[in-house]
Amino acid sequence: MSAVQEFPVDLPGDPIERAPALGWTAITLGIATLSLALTNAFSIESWGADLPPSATVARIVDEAGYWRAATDRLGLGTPRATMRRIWTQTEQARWPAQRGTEMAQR
Amino acid sequence: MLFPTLTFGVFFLITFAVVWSARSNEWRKILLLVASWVFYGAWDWRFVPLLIASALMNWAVAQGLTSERFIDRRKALLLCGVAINLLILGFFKYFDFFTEQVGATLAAIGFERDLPVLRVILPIGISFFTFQGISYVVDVYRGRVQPARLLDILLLMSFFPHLVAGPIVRAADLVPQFQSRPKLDRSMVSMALLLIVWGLFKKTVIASELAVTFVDPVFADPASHSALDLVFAAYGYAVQIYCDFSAYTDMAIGLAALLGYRFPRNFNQPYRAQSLQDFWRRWHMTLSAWLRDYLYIEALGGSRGGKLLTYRNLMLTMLLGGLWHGANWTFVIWGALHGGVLAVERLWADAAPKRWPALPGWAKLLVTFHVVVLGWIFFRAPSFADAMTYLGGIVAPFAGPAGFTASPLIVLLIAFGLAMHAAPPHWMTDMAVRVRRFPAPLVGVGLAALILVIDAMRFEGVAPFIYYRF
Repeated sequence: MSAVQEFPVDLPGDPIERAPALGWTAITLGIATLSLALTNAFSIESWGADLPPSATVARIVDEAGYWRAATDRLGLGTPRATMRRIWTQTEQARWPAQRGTEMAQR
Repeated sequence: MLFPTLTFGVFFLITFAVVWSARSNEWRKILLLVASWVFYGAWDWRFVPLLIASALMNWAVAQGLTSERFIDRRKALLLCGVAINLLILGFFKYFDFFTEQVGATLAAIGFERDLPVLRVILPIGISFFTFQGISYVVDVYRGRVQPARLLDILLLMSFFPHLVAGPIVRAADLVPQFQSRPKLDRSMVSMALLLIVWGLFKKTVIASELAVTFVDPVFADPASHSALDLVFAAYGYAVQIYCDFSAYTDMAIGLAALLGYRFPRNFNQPYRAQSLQDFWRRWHMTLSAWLRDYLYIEALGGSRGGKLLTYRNLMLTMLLGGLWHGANWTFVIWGALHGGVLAVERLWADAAPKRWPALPGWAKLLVTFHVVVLGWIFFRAPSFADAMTYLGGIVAPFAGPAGFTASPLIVLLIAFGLAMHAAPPHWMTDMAVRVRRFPAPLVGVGLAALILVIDAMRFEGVAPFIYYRF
């Protein structure tokens, strides 16, 4: 390795934490993927809708729509929807002087 | 295929599963190579052969450099290899620019001609893999690295995490890692996951929001914005470009680590630099190291020729660094500004009386930051005239319109983007040390929760990374 380079993923650590961790990583990624599939069906549906149209994509979009409806019925999409609403309100917030200008423009 | 998209997420999960299930290291590398070509081909399949040809050429030159047959012609072979790399880069990047400049010059002296403008498409990442190729053949020539096997060179230049926007990973750093099947450990994975999530946040929330809702509109029409808007948009672009570019390399480092490979750091809180020299030790560190080692020292002679030549070399290095960003006079001016200030800093260090008091650290930081921001105005402006209009609006604040169009969120994001430079330098390392002790299900749920929050905050759609076009 070149002497000047620093590698961010080299952490100080004891030997136990340097043990092989492929299983630990696979479980982490698997659970994260499953959790996101359950709580973020909105993004899966949007992704499907943005793909170039084809018969396969149409089927993906249909399935994603059913999946979103199912997770929404269980309330799993609520946290994302709530956070999105709050964030959109934050995006739309204006300084008092800007609100006055916008009112005048209307 | 952009990192912060579901398409890339699916691609990466499949690659991760397939690559780690390969028993032999050779098959593992072949699978990674195929995945990298699929990744590159998803943008434009026509340029995959160019990537392969570039790797083949550099491999062949390196083999020749250590062959008995070329023992008397090593230097000529090296120059040939470097020249071919530069010709490829020059053709795709500068052909149209120089044709237009020649056409304009001929027209100005009364010899107007219709010169062929090919509207050449710039292959994504061409600068990065060309720089890798040049550093490889120079390092082999200098004896710093041994010639690598063809498979290793193909993978070195094609490896998808760094392929399109760096970091520039040298053969000396990556090829030794290809020699045996890598092992994952919790430390590496914890840091990798934090880097990916942090990069996702910087790109999709901070950089995208700043770009679309404030910085782009102000830079598109500076004449109809107030001086306050112009100043904030300049600060906003400083934050945007840092969050955009460092996000890419954070994610690249994290993704490579999940596949078992270590990439060098590329950013280190650049806006806390107290001089421009310090800035370049913190910003795009692998490019600055490349420019220092192969252009400033290797090609121009560095500081070996005395003070005047040192200043000239600093200036030339940064001018060429600016031109590397693109065929536009704004980049040349950006490079000249950086080169000029670096030379002045060196001159001051050489000539300033020892008894003179030094500026306090905070003042040096403020001066350095504003020189960098001034450079960003040229870097971001579409043309020299636009940059001058922009600067004119700042220096003559009462001549333009009044008002302030940045929303509270934009001001908050700019402040946050600057404040992150005041964070303890090792905050993420400390966090990763804690995360690696947690059980996998807890880390998985935590990771999903963070990505969900970021996804709820992200701006609609994903713009390409700024450095894709370089």
